[in-house]
Amino acid sequence: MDRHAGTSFYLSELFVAGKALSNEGGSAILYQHLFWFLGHPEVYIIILPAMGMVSEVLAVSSRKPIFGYLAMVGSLFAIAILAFLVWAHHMFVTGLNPFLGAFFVLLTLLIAVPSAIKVFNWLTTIWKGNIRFTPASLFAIGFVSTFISGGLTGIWLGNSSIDIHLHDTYFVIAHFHIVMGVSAFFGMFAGIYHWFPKLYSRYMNSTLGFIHFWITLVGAYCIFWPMHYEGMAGMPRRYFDYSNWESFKQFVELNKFISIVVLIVFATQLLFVFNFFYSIFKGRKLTTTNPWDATTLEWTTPIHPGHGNWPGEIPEVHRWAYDYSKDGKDFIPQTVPVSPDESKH
Amino acid sequence: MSNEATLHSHQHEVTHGTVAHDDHGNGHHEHHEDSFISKYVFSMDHKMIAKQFLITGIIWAIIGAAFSVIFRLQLAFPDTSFPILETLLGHWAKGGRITPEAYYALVTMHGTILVFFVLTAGLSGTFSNLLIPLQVGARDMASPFMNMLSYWFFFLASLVMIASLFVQTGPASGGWTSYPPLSALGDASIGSKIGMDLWLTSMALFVVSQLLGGLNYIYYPEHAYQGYEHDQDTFDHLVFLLHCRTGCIILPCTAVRLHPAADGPSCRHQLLPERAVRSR
Repeated sequence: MDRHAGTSFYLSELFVAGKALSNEGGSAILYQHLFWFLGHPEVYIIILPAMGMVSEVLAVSSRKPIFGYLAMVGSLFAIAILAFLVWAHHMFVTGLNPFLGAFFVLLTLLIAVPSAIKVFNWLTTIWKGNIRFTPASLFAIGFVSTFISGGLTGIWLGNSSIDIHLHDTYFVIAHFHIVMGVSAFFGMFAGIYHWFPKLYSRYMNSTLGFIHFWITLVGAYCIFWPMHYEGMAGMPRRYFDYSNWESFKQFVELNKFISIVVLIVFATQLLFVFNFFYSIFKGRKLTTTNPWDATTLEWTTPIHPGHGNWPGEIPEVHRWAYDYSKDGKDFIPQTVPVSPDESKH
Repeated sequence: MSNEATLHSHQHEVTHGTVAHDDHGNGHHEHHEDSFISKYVFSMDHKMIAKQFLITGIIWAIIGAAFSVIFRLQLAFPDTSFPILETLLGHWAKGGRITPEAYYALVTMHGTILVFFVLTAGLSGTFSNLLIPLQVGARDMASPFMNMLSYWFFFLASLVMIASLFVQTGPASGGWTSYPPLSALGDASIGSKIGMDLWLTSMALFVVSQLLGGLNYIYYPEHAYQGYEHDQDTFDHLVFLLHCRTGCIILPCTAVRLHPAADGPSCRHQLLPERAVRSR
């Protein structure tokens, strides 16, 4: 409405090129509050499904139940609630009352608790597991790695005093891209490699998948790790050209290095896209309904499930989804009734 | 539930029996009643909708990543000319160097595309649709029609966003967060002109898409327990992934409704078509 109906929600008394605008009373900061009240939960909308898929893939590929299932669910909901209470940590330098900022620092740092619980549980899920290394499981492990390294810098940025220096620098870019860009993509790749057989009744090529994983993992760290140092030196984001500043001359070669790695990583993603589309039509055909020996219901559908998923009755569920390596059996599907002499999970 | 009932009876006509593990021909039984359009285009099968979200997401990911390659070239080699850029981008890269305006547009679109179109729609749209019914043991989403609409609103949003790349003044260029005044003042930069209008229109369509999808996802955590019989504690038996969905469903349903508020300008200017073009 500000653009076209002459209102003034987000525009205050402004002078543009020496000419006063007719707007009065609005606030650009109001937009920032509204945007981040949307925007911060938005990043959790992205990362939570990725976390879910990673947990699933890690349990299946380490042949173990998810460690601390209840804690996982609890921390998930804790994150979902806290997501709504931290938005102003994007706005520490807008002139926000520092007293109010202290609350947002506290609530922001609180997110570290459920996040740490999750990381601990992922690591203990694969701990001493009989890990099957597939592209999906590697990407799931890669997710945990990048989530740790990206999450730790969040603790720095969440402090309003440190944020005054780091705000709008490449440090923020590095943090955001490792935790949202790389982590979320790794979760998505894990999901694609894992459920591709369910989607297209064929396998993706795992050799290409391994190449894709290793170049992407090493490349992503090569791209985003150095950006932390640029940010600590105060290099601001969203500048077209840094060559006029004496203080950023030290990063000329580093920027070249980053961009060359970007080209390599981009080419590797094209390899993934090729693998994806090639496998839809020419991939190795699925010969079993349950290629990863998983317990969950999606693997009880036929190889080519029609609309409605199950040709007969809907399967009945008798147990939780994580009966792996139990009572001497590698896995027990959810559809198998619990026998009386079975041990508790 | 009526939908589930129809599917159910239909399935009984097709084949009887318990869960078939080797019934390879089963998928073909249904083909004759689905035309190409209803099977691949306006599909109401959650699995096909998941594929549509995934493939659209992958196309967006390539575009968004390619943009980052272009602006990284500028950052690494600010004084070098890349004639291919002029071939690709025309006057946005005169002499093989992208202009500052093009740089900001590329950065803005890179963020918008990857955060919203790839990681929100491409990730959640794909796997929520694929896995919720399959893992709770349902035949489809609660409302397959709404699910289909969700994809097609996303498709429309994509079209509008793509179109904004080709207008004369270029796409939005005030950052993916679209802070005012750059986003609110049409004269603030060339990216604040029609490109910004298209950005807002596209995001409004995107919000509708996510809302329709989110309403479908939220139905299942409530009803998932139906399929889970003989359980002392159903909570314990749900797949963890489904809890993740529940968590993230609460988020879009609230957040997504806020988005039109944040983008107030976009929603209203469509109601005022006579002023939509240029009233400043």
